[in-house]
Amino acid sequence: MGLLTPHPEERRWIARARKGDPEAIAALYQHYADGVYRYLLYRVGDAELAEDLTADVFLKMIEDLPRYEERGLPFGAWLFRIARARLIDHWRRQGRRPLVALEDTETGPQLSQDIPEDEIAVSEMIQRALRVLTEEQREVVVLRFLVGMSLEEVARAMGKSVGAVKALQHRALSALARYLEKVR
Amino acid sequence: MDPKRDAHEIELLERCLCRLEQGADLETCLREVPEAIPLRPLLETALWLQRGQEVALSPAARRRLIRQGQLRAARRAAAPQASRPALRWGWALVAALGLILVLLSAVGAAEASLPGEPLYPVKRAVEGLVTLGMSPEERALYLAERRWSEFEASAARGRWLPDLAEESLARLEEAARLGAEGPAGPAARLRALYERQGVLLEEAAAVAPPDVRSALTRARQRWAGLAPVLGRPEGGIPEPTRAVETPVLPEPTAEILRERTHTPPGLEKRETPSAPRTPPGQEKTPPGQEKKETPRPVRTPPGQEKKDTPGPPRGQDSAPPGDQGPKGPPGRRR
Repeated sequence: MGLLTPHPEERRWIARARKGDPEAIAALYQHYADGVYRYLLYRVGDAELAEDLTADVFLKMIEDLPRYEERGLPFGAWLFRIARARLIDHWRRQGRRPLVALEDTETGPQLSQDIPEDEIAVSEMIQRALRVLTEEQREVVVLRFLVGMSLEEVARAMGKSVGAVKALQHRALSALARYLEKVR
Repeated sequence: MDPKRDAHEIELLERCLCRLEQGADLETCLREVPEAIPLRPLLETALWLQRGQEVALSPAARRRLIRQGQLRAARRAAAPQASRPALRWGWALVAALGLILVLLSAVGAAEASLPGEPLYPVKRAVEGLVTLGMSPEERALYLAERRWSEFEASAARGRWLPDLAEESLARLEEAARLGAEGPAGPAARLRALYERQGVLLEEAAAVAPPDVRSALTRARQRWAGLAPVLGRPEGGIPEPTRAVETPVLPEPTAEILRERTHTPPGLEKRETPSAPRTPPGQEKTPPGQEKKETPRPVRTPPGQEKKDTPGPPRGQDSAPPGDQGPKGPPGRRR
């Protein structure tokens, strides 16, 4: 399920969550938490940190919920905007980009202990592979193939044209294909 | 690389990705779009990346996050709803008070400003508001006094501003015409201002720089022309003093100071209860009274004889006869 795919009950959840209804809050978490977590995990490469950032994003969502108004901006897109802002804030505080250099990848990314092993294997491989990409290519790949946004949604999120995102996507997949051919 | 071929390849890739997203498998897609066969490694990579979507929060982490969110929402809901608007109102109040404080400071600072200074327009604007509730004669007199005070203050700094004198005279004339039958208070103020004007205008015509002297002389003539309306000033209307004849006199001696305490004949009974204090440096004879005497004796304007110029103890006079009071430019004497 993509980050921006709205649930039919979403509006009702939002209205009830504004009043502090715990069930509505749980429903919003259930629907969106994985998408936000995945985005953050593949951008920071650390499951524990991604969990903390996800928690921050949702707490911010609760704080800002009374101010959220659906004016052409779907709830998922609004939530994603919070996630992106939180990520940028994290990087700013760290004073550096999140992913370590390729030569430091021998130890592999840190993953949560309670994620199934096959998932860890895939996730680890993907995170290693993402390191061959440029920052923009990585953002396109994460949003399009790992979060599940459409081409138009990616373009809007990144503030780029659809054509530019297509070109970035093509170059990113070419680079990843070459990398995978080498490591397999 | 050929850009045209590149663009074609990019479009082909996107077409196949869309088909894969719609649920088609890779082989079907390549059968449908045979041109995309060279893109097979890229499409396989895209499919491999999509396996990353299986990654999700662990159930424990999910429960923890949900609990945390529910707690926060509950705290938020439990927090007194009134406190947030109250806080907002509090901030608004603080901001409003700050603004008022800034405005009051600006108004206070503007009060002492003179023409040509940045805050002078503020002073005039505030004046406009202050005088809104006044009667026409009260307003004219108030403005006449204020313009004259500015004229005096700027003259003390060596700046002669004939426009201020003219405006003050015009207001005085207006006040006199409007309030000729008014109560004793305003009438006394009118009279006092008229006397003040005469003293400084006479001096201005003598000591002001040549470029403004003619304008000040005109102002003085206008002042003299007000005599029919306001009554002749004490001692009559003096002839303008010529600048070349203005001597710079030494500091006042004890004798002169004592002489200032004496009330000139005919002025003792005059009642000017609310007459303003004569500005320092103007303690001399109302224009015209002793103009023939050179040097002129210094006299106190009516109504201020007993309080403004305390005389020295008798018997301490040591100044030689004929020694006169101060007569330098007003700026130096203030």
